[in-house]
Amino acid sequence: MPATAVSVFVGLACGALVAGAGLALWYCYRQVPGIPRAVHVIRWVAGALLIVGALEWWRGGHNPSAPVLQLILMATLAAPPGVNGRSLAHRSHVLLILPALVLAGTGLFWISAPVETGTVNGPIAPVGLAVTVCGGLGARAAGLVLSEVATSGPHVEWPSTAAFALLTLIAGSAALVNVWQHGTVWVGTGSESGLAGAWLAWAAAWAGRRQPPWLRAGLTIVAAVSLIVLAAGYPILQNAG
Amino acid sequence: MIDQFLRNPWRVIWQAATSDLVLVVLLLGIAAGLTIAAGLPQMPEANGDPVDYARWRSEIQARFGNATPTMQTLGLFAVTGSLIFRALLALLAGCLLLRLVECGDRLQRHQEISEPTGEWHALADVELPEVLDDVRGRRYRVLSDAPLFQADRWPWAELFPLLAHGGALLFLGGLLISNLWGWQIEGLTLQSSERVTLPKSQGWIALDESAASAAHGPGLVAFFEERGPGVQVAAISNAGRSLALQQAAEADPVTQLSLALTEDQYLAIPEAQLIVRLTPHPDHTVEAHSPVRVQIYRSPPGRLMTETVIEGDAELPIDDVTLRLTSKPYAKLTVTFNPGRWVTGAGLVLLLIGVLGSAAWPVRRFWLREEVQHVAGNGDLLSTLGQSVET
Repeated sequence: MPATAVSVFVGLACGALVAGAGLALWYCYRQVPGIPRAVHVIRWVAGALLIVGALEWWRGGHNPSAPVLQLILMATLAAPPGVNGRSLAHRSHVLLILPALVLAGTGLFWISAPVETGTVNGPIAPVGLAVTVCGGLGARAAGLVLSEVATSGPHVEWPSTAAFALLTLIAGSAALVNVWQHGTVWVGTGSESGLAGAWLAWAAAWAGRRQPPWLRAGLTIVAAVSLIVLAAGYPILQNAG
Repeated sequence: MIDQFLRNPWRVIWQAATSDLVLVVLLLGIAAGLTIAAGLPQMPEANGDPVDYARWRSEIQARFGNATPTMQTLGLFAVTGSLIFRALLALLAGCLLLRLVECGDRLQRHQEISEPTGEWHALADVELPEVLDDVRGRRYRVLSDAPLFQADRWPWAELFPLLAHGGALLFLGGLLISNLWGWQIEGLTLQSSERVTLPKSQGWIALDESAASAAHGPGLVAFFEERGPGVQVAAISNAGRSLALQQAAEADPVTQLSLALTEDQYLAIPEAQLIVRLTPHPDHTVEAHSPVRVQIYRSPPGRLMTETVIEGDAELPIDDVTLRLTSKPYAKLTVTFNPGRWVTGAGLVLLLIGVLGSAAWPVRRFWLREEVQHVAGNGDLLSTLGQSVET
């Protein structure tokens, strides 16, 4: 793997997240004061490192076909602790860190993908960025439902509601633009079907929000995975080359 | 459950059909279909371009090899056209219709105070007047039938799901209409000022002089896929006579040829023994008025006589012939006739309002009751009240 600045930042973030998860686990067995605060700080630091890594990747004109930027941005959104972080059980932090760690780790793996010669990163595509933000919120929601099931913690709905509302706006406006410009909802691109599929999966999770926690968690995880896969493959950069 | 079914089967069927679980299963089924359709190359339309079909066939063969026939048998390359997918959409429409009726009924029913069915919980350290003020401050409606108080978000919280269900139904109805009576023509190439009648007299479409916009018959939508340069060619002899032009050996000779430069174009002027090659200039992006490279050959022996780049109209003299080239840009269009367009659009708008409204303003209803020593709560209590529940 080339020792680029991006891999250093993302690698450090992954290390911080692993350390945070380890500390949270350790606190479950030995209640050393100060650890919860350290876990909070570590999660913020990991978020900051990831955003620097994402900016570095964008600035550096790397391979735009690899989903690195999307994965790092999603991990950035999933990494920092939420407003309710202090009310959650300490075991929860491990599960809350898990999605960010998986996303950042996968991004780190993709950094080593072969670079296409002659490619120049263009400006950020607004729809691609919005889908990535949805993916990040989806990852957060997945971590929260996992912790809710595993630790019987409180039900926190805002990330899934925010992801669903934003996804509804994106998919709905894309469909309206198609109807207006093309006269039809489907123009026949794969990303359209993927967007509609992810929206329906979130709609299913939304419709099932009054179901038992395990079912609600299953639906949210399915929806989050479909959204993350969609966001990872969605073009986030306009081609300036 | 069986007893209940035997006593009132329709009620049980209604409850099952309008349950969240059935909606979840249907939505997940359709989502799975669309996700497969997004990931696998889908078969082009049966009446589409044979070249597209051949390209799709070779792509799936190259990607999936020996698994291709099995995947094709499973219908993985024609998901949205499959019977199962359409059946799921039909079932979803039915489910939404029943839920819409139930939403309407709920909107009407919840106009007045209702009796709670859940369990009452004693709330510690709660003063009823303070709580009611707080609840009203959060824009809840408070109904009272002393000593019972009901707080809810009627009518908006009940109206948004109604809008979402109605919008989704309209959307599905629009898709059905467009599927039954709509059609689409892709890759229709027109040159400026050209007007064509669409196949099977389905309407007409005409391009303006600069290929910037198109006029068309009622109900049609024209989308510009690409624009590029085009040329109208005429060859005039020194005597002022129009010479015959031919694009192919078997083509009828004409005195004027309109050529859309979607690719390299050739024409012959047999009387002058000239061959003309016209191509969009490779160093420029292809636009309606981008430069055109003109190469003129003597045939026989196929020797290049002159080469030039033109922009706009031009006249090129070669020996005793003048080649008159008039800019006539082309546009490649997709023409759609969708009678369900407005229904689909209205459905989408209602669905958006309904879903976003439901997300921001979800249905929530709870009851408070003043008892001798404390206040009791029931239903979907606010988080501040939930913390006061005595265990």
